[in-house]
Amino acid sequence: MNRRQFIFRSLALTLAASTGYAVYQHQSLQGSDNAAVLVLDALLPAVLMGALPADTQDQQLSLSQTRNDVLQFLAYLPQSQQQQLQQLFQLLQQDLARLALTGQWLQLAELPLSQRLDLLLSWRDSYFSLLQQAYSGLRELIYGAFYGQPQHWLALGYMAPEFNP
Amino acid sequence: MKNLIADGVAAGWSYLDASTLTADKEFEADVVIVGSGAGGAMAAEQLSLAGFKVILLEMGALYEGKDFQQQERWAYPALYQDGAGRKTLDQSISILQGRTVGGSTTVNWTTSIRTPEKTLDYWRAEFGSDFTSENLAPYFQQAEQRLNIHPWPVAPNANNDKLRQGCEALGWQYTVINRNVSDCANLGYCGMGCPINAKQSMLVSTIPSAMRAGAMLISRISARELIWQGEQVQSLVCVPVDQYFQPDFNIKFRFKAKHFIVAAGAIGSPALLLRSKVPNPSGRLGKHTYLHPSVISGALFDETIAGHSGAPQSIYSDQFVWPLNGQIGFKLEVPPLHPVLMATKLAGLAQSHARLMQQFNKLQVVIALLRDGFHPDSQGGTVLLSDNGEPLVDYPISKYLWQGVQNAYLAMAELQFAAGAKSVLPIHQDAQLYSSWQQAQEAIKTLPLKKYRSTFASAHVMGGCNMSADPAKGIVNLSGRHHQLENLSVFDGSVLPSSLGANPQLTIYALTLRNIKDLIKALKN
Repeated sequence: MNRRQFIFRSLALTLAASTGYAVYQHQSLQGSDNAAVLVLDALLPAVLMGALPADTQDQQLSLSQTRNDVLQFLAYLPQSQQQQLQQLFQLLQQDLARLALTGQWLQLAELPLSQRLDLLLSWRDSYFSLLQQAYSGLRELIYGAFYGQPQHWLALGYMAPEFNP
Repeated sequence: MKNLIADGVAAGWSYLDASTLTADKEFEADVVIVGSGAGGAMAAEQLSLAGFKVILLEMGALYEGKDFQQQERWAYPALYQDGAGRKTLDQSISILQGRTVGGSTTVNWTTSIRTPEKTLDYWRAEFGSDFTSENLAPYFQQAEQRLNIHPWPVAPNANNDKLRQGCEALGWQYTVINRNVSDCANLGYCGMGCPINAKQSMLVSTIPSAMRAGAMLISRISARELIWQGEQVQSLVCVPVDQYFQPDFNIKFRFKAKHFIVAAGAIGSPALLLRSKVPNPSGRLGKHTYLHPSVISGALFDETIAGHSGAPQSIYSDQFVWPLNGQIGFKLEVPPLHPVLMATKLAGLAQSHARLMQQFNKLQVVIALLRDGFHPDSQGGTVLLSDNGEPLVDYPISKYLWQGVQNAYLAMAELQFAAGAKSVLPIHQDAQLYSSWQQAQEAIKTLPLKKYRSTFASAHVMGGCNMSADPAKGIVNLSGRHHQLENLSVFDGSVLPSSLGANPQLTIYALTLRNIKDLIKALKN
């Protein structure tokens, strides 16, 4: 267990104890890709509110492409940072951690969009630096992937030139 | 447009992509250089022209001229450390650093500034250096001629012009920037690699010249450990990197040489020396890492700014770099405004973020680069190693720096309103768009000066292997030679004993030219 896992789990335990949730079970990091997909799919529509295309089909395409671009980008990060992010995704998918980190019993995807936003903002304003890091890290990954795609530049009035087509 | 290196390789220049090798291999040269940026490539040219057999190693890939795509989603993963997502350990500062043949010179914004007098004064007083503007002048001139560094003769783009207008209105100092370009078409995509070979980066100057003279270039290779005994480095162990630039430890390359030059940048160089456990009696290895931590202020104008177009940096202001009250100084510049860079750095979430992005072409952005170092309360950060030997940069933001952050937000907002901004947004989680200087001034004074509330970025990494006349106060001597290991030099931004208060490329070129002259003399004897 590295330092970050330790902090995450201590945080989970502390909050679990204070809410009467007594049993803490060690959970493995299997299925982390799946966790990343679930968490991103839950957060993307909230983070991108106001930026997504109006048409429902285009919206779905935007969301899935942004999620895939985030997942692809992760491979370029140093191993230590990749592990931290995988742990974050994993923990957000685990009952106990979800309670500890978000104060919510519901699955992320079960929350209405406005509450997913509130959740993100509560991380931003949290006293725990880990949650503040999660907020800025996820936000940056998502906006980076979304605005990297040319179809989202229309709203910006921007076109990338091609000097060497 | 030509791809100079690819054409040269087709004509017989020596080049290898290490990721294509499938078995261990040994190499030998007179001098092995780790890193092909401002320090390494400048040294490679001089050594090759002097007749030495040189091998130049680069962790990044070889992309040049026609390869460059003017899209951030291609350029950041292909050309930058960690896909331009490099961060300090607590994630509070983003670091933009090149990782490609030519190093950061391939992706920098071409600003070329001689080392400020006051920085040289500080080095003389604190680190026993003998550098002055006068005795370094020949090396600055040599670099300026080599890379066609000259004042930018074209009118600044609107993003830079607002910086100029604000300074004029307030009576603040400003300067037209010197740029290392030839036949520049004022495109604005310097940060994604110059597509027309106009930027005189190492990629189109010293690297082709060194290769023409016989140097071998190896890309996609990560230097892992210097093997040393007594006062001698015996060899260097390297591994290839995979398609995501992650080291692949299944294959090993061993390099033997008479002399080794480490020029892997101010994060990579200390990391290599730390992994190698080289002697470190001063205890300063990997310490005193400076970043010019930069804070950001956005402004909306009625007219079109389109800060993605035109030379990214053509005006700076030194009005606040050297305050007389002992507080930390800061340099005012502007960044190029491209969608990903802006979207990730601007504050806001959901609708508030989307609204700001929709005004992308009306957005003007100023950055304030804090001149860190120079003060007991600004001793910089530390390069550490992760469990698997990769570098981490721990950079605490001291109270002294925070005072500078507030001063910088105030100065940037005042300047932007003076230039005619309709509203100003300091990039801070608790700030809003302010519609007057008075409103902004009052609000900025109440913004919490806390980690994660301010967005910080850095494009200049310095220190970690600092030079000093006294071995007790540094890693290398004033010629860049390691104090303990006789055949090891460090030629890059890591030798700087403080930040510069100016963009670093020209300082690195000049110091390298000065130090390589001494080294060539020593190697010939």
